[in-house]
Amino acid sequence: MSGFLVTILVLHIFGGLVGMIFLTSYMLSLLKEDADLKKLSRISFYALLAFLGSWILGGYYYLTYYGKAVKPIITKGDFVWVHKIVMETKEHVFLFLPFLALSVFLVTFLLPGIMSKDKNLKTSVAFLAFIAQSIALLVAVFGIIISGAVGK
Amino acid sequence: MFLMIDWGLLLRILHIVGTAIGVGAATMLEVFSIYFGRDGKVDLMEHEVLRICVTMLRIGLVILAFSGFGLLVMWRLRLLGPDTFFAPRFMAKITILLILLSVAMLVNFRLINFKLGSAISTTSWYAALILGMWRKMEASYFLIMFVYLVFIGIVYFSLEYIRKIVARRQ
Repeated sequence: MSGFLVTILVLHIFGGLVGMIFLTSYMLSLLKEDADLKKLSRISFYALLAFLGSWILGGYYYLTYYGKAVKPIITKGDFVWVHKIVMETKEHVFLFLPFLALSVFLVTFLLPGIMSKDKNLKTSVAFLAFIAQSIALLVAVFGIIISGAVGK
Repeated sequence: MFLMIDWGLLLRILHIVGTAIGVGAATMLEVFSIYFGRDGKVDLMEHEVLRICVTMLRIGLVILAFSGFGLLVMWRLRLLGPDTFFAPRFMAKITILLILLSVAMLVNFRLINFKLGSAISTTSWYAALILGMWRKMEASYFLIMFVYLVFIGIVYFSLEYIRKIVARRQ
């Protein structure tokens, strides 16, 4: 793997982790009584940027390297299911992430007045952030499993 | 100069630092919450001390996550494959970290009893430490997870016992 692709892979993982940290911070702060929605809209924007960056870099790695260099190794080994089930699920589920993060950001950015009064809306947005976080975590675990299937 | 850094060594050091901060903060959080909770109320100063412990716990977790994923990238580039990634010790460690994260969320949203969450969190930090250090462990995934569950029970009841003793001395 070239140095450029290693950098892409590292930044893809780094972006995903940073996105998860921002989303966690968002969730932990949102349900507080004195939640600062201006700050939260900034945090959700950073989460969106991180996921978007990770999304683009991961997509580039997948399209230019995975198919021709990694997939053949996995499908020739004992862990064919890792490509057929785990990677296939990962590449589809991961498409949702930036859109979920975008939804969280838009609601927080455009409706702070309503959100501060409507507890149900706040809970729903927290739940949406929780779903995005769970998907991000699942994608990370899938990434570990896929890396594990690539041996000498 | 940038490329001459021994990334493997740096990441291992960070991983140990993250674990040390996490285990230390989890222990101190447990000690302080028992000590401060003996009179049934937590004042402003005590609340601040607990908040610092929680912040340190989160910092430990973040360092652990970043350095852990860094080490995984190095394993992937060295093509260490299933022997390393699907080793029972490593799979158990990942499972325990996922449990730790889930429990932290559940406690925050008050979806789980605080005392149980606290026992799971403390046990998980120590389990991650032990699994990280005990490199020659040869146990199956299910045995490791079974022992982990048993220890959650032991830690929970031990902490309850200590809470009673401390409250009685008040």
